[in-house]
Amino acid sequence: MIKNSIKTLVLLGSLAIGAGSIACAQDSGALIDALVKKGILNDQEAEDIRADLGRDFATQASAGKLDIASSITKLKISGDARVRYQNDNEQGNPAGVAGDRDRNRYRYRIRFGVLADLGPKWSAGFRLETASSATSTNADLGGGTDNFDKTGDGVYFGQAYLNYRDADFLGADALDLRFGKLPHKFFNPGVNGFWIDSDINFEGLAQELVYNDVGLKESTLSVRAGQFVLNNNAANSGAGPTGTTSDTGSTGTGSKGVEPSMLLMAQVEYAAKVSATTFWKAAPTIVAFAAPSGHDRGANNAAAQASDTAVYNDLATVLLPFEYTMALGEKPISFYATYGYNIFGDDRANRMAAGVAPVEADSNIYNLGVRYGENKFAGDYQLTAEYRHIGNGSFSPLLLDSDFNGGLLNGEGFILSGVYSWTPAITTTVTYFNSFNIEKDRAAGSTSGSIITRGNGFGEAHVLQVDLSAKF
Amino acid sequence: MRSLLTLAALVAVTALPVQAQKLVIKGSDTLGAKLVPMLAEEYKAANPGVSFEIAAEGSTTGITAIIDSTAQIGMSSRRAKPTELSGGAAKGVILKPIIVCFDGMAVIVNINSSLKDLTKRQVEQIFTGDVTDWSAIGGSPGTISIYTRNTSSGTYSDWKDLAMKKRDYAASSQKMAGNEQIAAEVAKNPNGIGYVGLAYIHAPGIHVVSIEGQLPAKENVLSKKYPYARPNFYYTNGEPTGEAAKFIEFTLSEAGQKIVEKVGFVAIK
Repeated sequence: MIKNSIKTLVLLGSLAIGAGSIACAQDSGALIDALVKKGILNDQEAEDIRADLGRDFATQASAGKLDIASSITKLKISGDARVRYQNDNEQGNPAGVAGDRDRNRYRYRIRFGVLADLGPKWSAGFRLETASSATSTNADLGGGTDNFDKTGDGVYFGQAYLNYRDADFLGADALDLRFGKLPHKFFNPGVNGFWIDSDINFEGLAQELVYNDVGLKESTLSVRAGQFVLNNNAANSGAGPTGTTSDTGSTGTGSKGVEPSMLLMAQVEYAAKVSATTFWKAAPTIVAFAAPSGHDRGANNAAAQASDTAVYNDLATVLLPFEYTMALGEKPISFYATYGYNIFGDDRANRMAAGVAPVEADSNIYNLGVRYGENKFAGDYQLTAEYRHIGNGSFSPLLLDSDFNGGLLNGEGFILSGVYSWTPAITTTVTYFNSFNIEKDRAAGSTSGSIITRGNGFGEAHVLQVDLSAKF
Repeated sequence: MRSLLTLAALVAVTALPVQAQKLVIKGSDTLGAKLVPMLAEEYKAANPGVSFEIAAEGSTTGITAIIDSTAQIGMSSRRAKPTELSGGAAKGVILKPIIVCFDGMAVIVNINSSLKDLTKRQVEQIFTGDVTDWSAIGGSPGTISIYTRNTSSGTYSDWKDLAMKKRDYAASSQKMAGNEQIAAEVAKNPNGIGYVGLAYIHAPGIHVVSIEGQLPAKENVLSKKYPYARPNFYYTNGEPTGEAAKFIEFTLSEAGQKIVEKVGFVAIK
């Protein structure tokens, strides 16, 4: 009778402790073991209780109904949801040539990620996103072909990758290898990213070695590299530059290469902690294109090459991003900057002008910014102001933040941003981008506005974004 | 027509008692290779009308057999998993565990090995592949050969839980169908290591290694001082009934538990 009462008590107690918890049955195991050791329960009574608890857990708790592969040692589900109002006001350069528009946009995005640890060293992950673009995950409300239809509401794999982590490799304290369509670790300070749009997930291989306490105590030296496939050029297999097998086009007879066009990146980041609230980091970087034929088979004339969408040459930009963080009152304040220079800036600027006029090349790309506050808890806020300059031959629109100057070259201007946390998970963000042409009298070169704008940029662009975001 | 019906009725009536006295027992190799056949023989001697069908292919098959109602008793050297409990509940099957004996999973090495004792950490390192050469734990140089049970075995998953912090086995580990095969392979291989139930520790060519000074002796298993001690189970659908209940009662009786000890397991009382 006494033991029956204890059994009931353990059962009820364990259920009460575990109510709402996925670990109900497991938590009670130690309690049952202790009662057996004290002789209050015998082994068979303990097994009966274990079975009862296990059955309740398996049939009543949500987690008990999940059957997760035994190879998965940890499963993380995360992501965010965002709704946005956006106003774009973009004026061509010269006015009327390209992309004059003034529009209101109502947008949403969902990013849903799953990361599974497969033991201590391996993990695999994927993330679903609501847009196909490399530099945007937004879908437009009312963007379909009929009222409330779903033609604009696709779901895409934004990430799909394997990750290997280890320690004590080549003397490093940590090794990180990534394979597939992957989230990168390159240091890139700026609103929405600067020279790597924050929505970009590279495709290929990435490596990182981290060394602790190099030179200074509490410092880290991170060496990163990436080999990313821009275009596998499979479409060129068996075809010349204009698409025919007998072609003798501009890139030479029999250009049938199927080697991929690559983006190569390398970065060495040194980060040091000066005090509990003061940190700094600097990260010399090089970003380069490497392509077997310089461009895709279709981009075989000047106008097409000016599009830069299928042209992978003229880029070897050296960058130096830097950030210094300290406390101002009770909040952190960060000063950040990046300076970069494209070694092949002249060639890039002229090609992007479609070869119609000599161009005064500007190979410089830089930003300067200050960020105050952080968003961790309800009531937190963060304010950011940033200035950017992107010369007409300095970088590639394939990589640049697409919200500033449309992600185009030949633009400079500023960004103001404020984020307020309603809860740790819910935030409102207001961001304003204002950019201007650097080279204002640049020849249009083509009536094909959508092509020329990549090198030409907008005459002026205003973009206002108001976001309500939830992260999970 | 009437005579046909009478014949059918006669066949049914005569078949019933035969069917009722056949016990189907499936599951764990640890229990099913030696102990349960010996119990069955003893039980049959006292109950000549009863026949047995015993299949020892791993604990998973025993629990599955209860869920699928293809056996009256499931043998298992591990507890039922939550997914098995819920899978059974979905079919109206209440998996009832009955402890029939205790076992100590003994770590065995080749009889010529000088290894006498291991720490729990060393056992984990060996079976996960963190350590691959005997010299790393003070033995004579030589690549460690790991022998484990196969994945349908309850011992396979129990060992991961008790000895390996739920980590994966080393990729180089070789999976064996039963305890006897593990003992035989370790006996042949001077660099071999494996684990077997107490009923198999007297196989030729092997010796048992103590764990942090504790051997899998009866008192250490019952007091749970030996770290790799565990109960072994029969599983039934709810409270056992009929011939299954009688056989379980016999297993737990003094006579049954004597057989348990004779085989090499630790009796429950």
